Order: sequence, then structure tokens, then C-alpha cells
Amino acid sequence: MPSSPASNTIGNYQYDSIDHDFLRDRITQFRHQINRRLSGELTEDEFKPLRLMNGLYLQIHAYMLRVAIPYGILNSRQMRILAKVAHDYDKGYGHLSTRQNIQFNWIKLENVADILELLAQENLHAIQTSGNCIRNVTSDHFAGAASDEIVDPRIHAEIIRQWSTLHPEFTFLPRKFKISITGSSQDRVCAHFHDIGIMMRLNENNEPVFKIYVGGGLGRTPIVGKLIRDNLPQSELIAYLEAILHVYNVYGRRDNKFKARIKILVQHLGIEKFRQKVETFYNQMDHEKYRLTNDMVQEIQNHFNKPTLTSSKDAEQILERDIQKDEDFSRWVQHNVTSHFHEGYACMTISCKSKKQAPGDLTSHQMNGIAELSERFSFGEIRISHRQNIVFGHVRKDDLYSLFKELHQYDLHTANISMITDMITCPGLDYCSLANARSLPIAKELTDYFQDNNLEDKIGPLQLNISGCINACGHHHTSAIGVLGVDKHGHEAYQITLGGQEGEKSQIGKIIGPALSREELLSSLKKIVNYYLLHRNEKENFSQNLQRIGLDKFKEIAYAHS
Amino acid sequence: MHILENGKFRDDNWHFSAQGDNFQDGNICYSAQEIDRAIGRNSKGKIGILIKPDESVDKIRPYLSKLHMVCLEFHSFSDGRAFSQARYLREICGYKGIIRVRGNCLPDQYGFLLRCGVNQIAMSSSKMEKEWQEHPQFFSVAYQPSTLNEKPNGPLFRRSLNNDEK
Repeated sequence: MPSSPASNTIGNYQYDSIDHDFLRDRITQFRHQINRRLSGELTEDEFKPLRLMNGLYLQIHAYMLRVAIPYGILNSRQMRILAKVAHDYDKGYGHLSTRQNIQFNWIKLENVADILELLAQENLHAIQTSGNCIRNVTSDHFAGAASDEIVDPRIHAEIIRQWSTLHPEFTFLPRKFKISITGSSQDRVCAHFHDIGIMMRLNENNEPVFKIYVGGGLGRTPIVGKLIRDNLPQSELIAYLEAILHVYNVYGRRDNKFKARIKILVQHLGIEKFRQKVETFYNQMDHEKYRLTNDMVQEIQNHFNKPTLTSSKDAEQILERDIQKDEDFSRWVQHNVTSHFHEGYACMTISCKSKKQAPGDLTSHQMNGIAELSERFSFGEIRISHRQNIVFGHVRKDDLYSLFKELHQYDLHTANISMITDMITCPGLDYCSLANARSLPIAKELTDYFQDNNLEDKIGPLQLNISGCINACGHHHTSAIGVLGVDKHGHEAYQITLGGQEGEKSQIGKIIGPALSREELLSSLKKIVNYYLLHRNEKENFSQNLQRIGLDKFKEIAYAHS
Repeated sequence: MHILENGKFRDDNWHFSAQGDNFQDGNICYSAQEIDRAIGRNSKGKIGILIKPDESVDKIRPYLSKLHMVCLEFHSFSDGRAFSQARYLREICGYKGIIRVRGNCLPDQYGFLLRCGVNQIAMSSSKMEKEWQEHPQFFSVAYQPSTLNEKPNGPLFRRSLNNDEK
């Protein structure tokens, strides 16, 4: 049987025929489960965890299918399949999630098995993208490209992904389990807000070592993760993860869904006692059995292809020339392009936050466009950022201008990465049965306001995230300005949080005052931003300004009657 | 009890001890609290201990060599603590006796139960017996080591699942 298609693609793990058969077996199993549900042999309660483990949610309007994009890497053929799913089985679009997956919101149950068959043609699946199991392992959207990278985390992300797939002990955990891994000196993976966050670096012998954080999370109880182990050698990575998951499965709460995450357990025991339990188990394990050897890592690495980077000597000069002649391009480079380790290349982010569609959404036409452009400009490799944007990891500097111009035909040329209009927004009350308030109209109104009044560049980089309820799927806790949808006497209302931060200085934003109506919210947000613009020192960003001036002052401004 | 073992159904004659009963003979499975009574028993019958999901296996760890069976429970199929208890018994305690599971688990969990070291499933209803027998045959590989120490098959920790051995 032929093995995986397109074995010359770069960036993601190349399946062999056994891996491919596994996907087919999974689909066969799920078809069987769907049939047992339809025949009544399985109740909805019994079917629910089984369908969740295949990424199938039931939402207000229809089923939602969450397709896994392991550590956020796709190839162009996979993107075309996703475009086809969007077109043939959805309403013509898909949605990028904050964990580097893609979601289709209008799926019918009777089509699911066929969709999974289609996805499997390009080794895509929806395994463990939902349910109380280990979810998609997320990583740096600039992995294998960023100039600040120490070691490419994707190999180990793949190792953890494989190890966690249908793990016999960890498939019925107290609650969902999210792991992220980075190999950069900068944390772009929110490691401190994951159940397990892993930071890789190299020791003095050039061997990978790991810093393991545990018990971070957002949602109803946002908590910054605690360091459980540093300098963990590569050989012990899997054994240590087994130990953490085992302790969680044994001791995590089963009586209350809202207190069942590992963050609650770590908080309850304290990190010392939690570590003790983990290491007691770890010390009794047969480490030989779980040893991750250099050979094993190399073997996985061999399944990844790397791009052949060739650039002209003039690449930099050509880029400079292009910047000089086109102001829009200049602005786009300033916001959307970041540095690559190779001096002739750049990393480029395609903003999925235009005025014209919901944040993080892509139409099937846009997906096909991205596929084609990735083949022409970035080796057919596509990344999804947890901020719900698309990244091309390897673009020649002297190609950037051509790419920019091509993006226009797909409305994918918005120059706002890391700006206030680059918002993470959850689907909100328009789509989600858990939400208290709508989030998408807020995002739209704010985007219109900041763009129409040419305020984005004046404000500079500033993260504003919007969640429709305390489950915090919009990650409002970790942005400098956050919006939280609440219910106030049966009406949609909103609270503002300030001071959140991702990365090394991870911090949870603070609620500044009582709930506001939609009109009040929009007015208060404008006042907050305005106050910052009037009272900042030169080069002071919003977070620095907030720290200097203090939360109380901003609260006063936000709640002052106009 | 009607149990599934090695792909076949059979009835067995284990009695599950309840407070106040005074069965002396036969195979008796005691609660973990009764471990002293169980070990001190003077009879030819076999001894088992029932461990509840929230009980620690360490409670009975010193006595495992005397036990013929450890029985684990699913109060709900979504409460996966029995998987950890079984794994712990096999891998850490080196327990070689029978591990039985009873309660509300799904046939879809059978493959996982076997890989965690469970030998026997007590059927709570006849409704799903066919499902139980057929279910594990979906997959021919797994991606991590298990208590069954399956043969390696490919990179990393990939293993062959021999579906004939149930």
C-alpha cells in the first residue's frame, strides 16, 4: 500500500503506511460508534466522550468538527483538503482556533465519517481535539525559522503527540489536558498557561534539556503555571510526562467539572507536594522502558524535511527598495514580517483579522489561495498561530513584495499583526451555548473604530482579547486589555480586564470594575486607549504605561461619565 | 458473575464480601478495609481485594503476593482511575495475579483496559456482550509502551497489538 502522499513536503511529520492505516482504523472505529449511536445501542451520554475524542462538538446551530493541526503545521495539499471540507460540508469557511487547530461550525453528523475519510487522504484527523484526554500539542508558529530559536521544538512536539495518541491510561482523565512546547528564548506558546508547558534549550554539551511547568491555565480560574522540574534530560522526557499524567489521573477531582483541571490539583497540594507525588512515581518507573534515546529522536527527525534555503545577495537591498516605493507595503513589512535565522529570508504573518470577516475565519477561497501562495513563496508549508493567524515561515526577502501584492486578491493583506485590531475573539453568543454575551460584534466595532480613525499605528502593539464568558476561550486574561462577557440580570454585559501578559512575564489581567453595557464598554475602551495616548512617555507601550500610572487611574477613566 | 476473559465469556464463582456476612469458604473478594480479615482467613478458597476508584493501591501493596485477584471499579465510564490503578499494580508493584474490572465501562475501553493490565471484565449487562468481544480488533498498532510490553513496530514507541491475545 502506498505510504503518505507528497513525501517531499517540509515542516511536518511524514507518515509511513502504518501511520496511515492507523488513521483508517480510527475512522472505521468511529463509523462503528456513530452507527451504534444511531441504532440507539449507545445513549447520547455514552456517545458523547467517544465523539469528543474524534473532535465532534454539539453547538447551538450544528455539530462543530475540530481538525487537528499538530503543532500548527500544514502543507499546501492539506490546506486544499480543508478548503474542500469548508466548501463541500460547511458554509464555505473554517475557523482557526487558539490551539492551532481548525474548526468547522456547520457539520452534519451523517457526513462526519465521510469528512474524516477525506481528511485522512492527506493525513489529517480530528483525534483527541476534544474530550478529557491529551489534546493537540501546540508549539511556536515560528518554529524552525525564528532568529531567536535555540532548538526546533517540532520534533519533540511530534514525539509527545505520538506518545499521547490513544494512550491507554490517559484517555479518561478528570478533564482536558493541554501541552505546549517551545524551543525559543521567547515564549510564544503561552507555556505558563498550559497544563504542561515545556521550554527546551541546549545544555553545555549541546544536548536538549527541558524546563517543565505544570498547572497553568486560563478559564474560570486563571493561574500561572509552576516550575516542577528544570534540566530534565531528553532521555527522561516521556517518563516524566507519564508520571505527571499518572498523578493527575489518580488525584484530579472527579466530583466537580469546574475543579477538575490539573491547575486546581497543583494549587490544592502546592507545587512541593505535587512534585513529591510525581517524583515518587517517577522514581519507581522502569526508565529503560520509557527512555527517549538520541537514535529515537533522530529517527523521528528523519521524517521531517527541511527547506533548502537559497537567497540572492541582493535580497536585503531589493526589500529596502520595495519598502521605499510603496507605503502600504512598508507598513505591512513593519507589522507582519519578523526576522528569520537566515539573513535572506523572513517569517511572514497573514492577518486573518480584516474588517470583512469574523476574526480567525478563512473562506475556502482564501484557504486555496493560501495553499497556492505557500507553494510559490514558502515551500508549501503553512503554520497556524495561536493568535488565529496564518504564518509562512520561510519567505525570501526579495519575494515579500510579490507576495504582498498577491495577498490583495484574497483580502489577506491586512497589516495589523500584534496591533490592537489583531484580537483573539471567541465565537461568543452568536455560536456558543456557553456564552453570556456576543463577542464578534464587539470585535467588529472596535476594529472599525481603530482602523477608521487611523489609530492602530499611533497606539502601537497592544493586545486586546475578547471572551464571551468566563470559560475564557478568547484568552482575555493574557492580553493587556481584555473583555469578558457576563450576564447581568439576564442581559449581555461586559467587564474589562487590564494588565494581562503572555510569555516570560506571564500575568493575569485584573478586572477593573463592575459590568458595563455594550455601549458603555465601547466608550470605556476608547477612553482607556485615549488616556494612554495622551499620557504615555516616548516609546512606552500600554503595559508599561499601565504599570507606571496604575490600574486605579485607568479604572477612574473607564468609569468616568462623559 | 458473568465475566469476559481472553475473548470468551464464562460464569465464575467469586463472592464479593459484604459487611456482616460470614462466608467462610469459596473465593471471596473483600473490600480494602477488610485486608486483615482477608489475609488471616483460614480456608482453601482464593482471596481477592476490591479497590474503589478513590482508594490507594498502596493500602494493599504489602499483601499483593497473597492475593489471587484485585478487583477495580468504574462508577462511571468517564472516571478513568481504574486504568491508573491497574497500571500501577502491574508496572510499579509487579503484581502478577488477576485484575478484574467491574461497573460501568464501555466496550470502547476494552483495548485500553487490556493494555493497562486488566485480565477480566465483569459484565454489568448482556446488552453489549458482542461489542465487548469485537471491539479491540480495530487497531493493529499503538504508539506508547504498555504493561503488555508489546513488540516494537516502527519508530519511537510504536508497538504491534496482537489482537489474538485477549
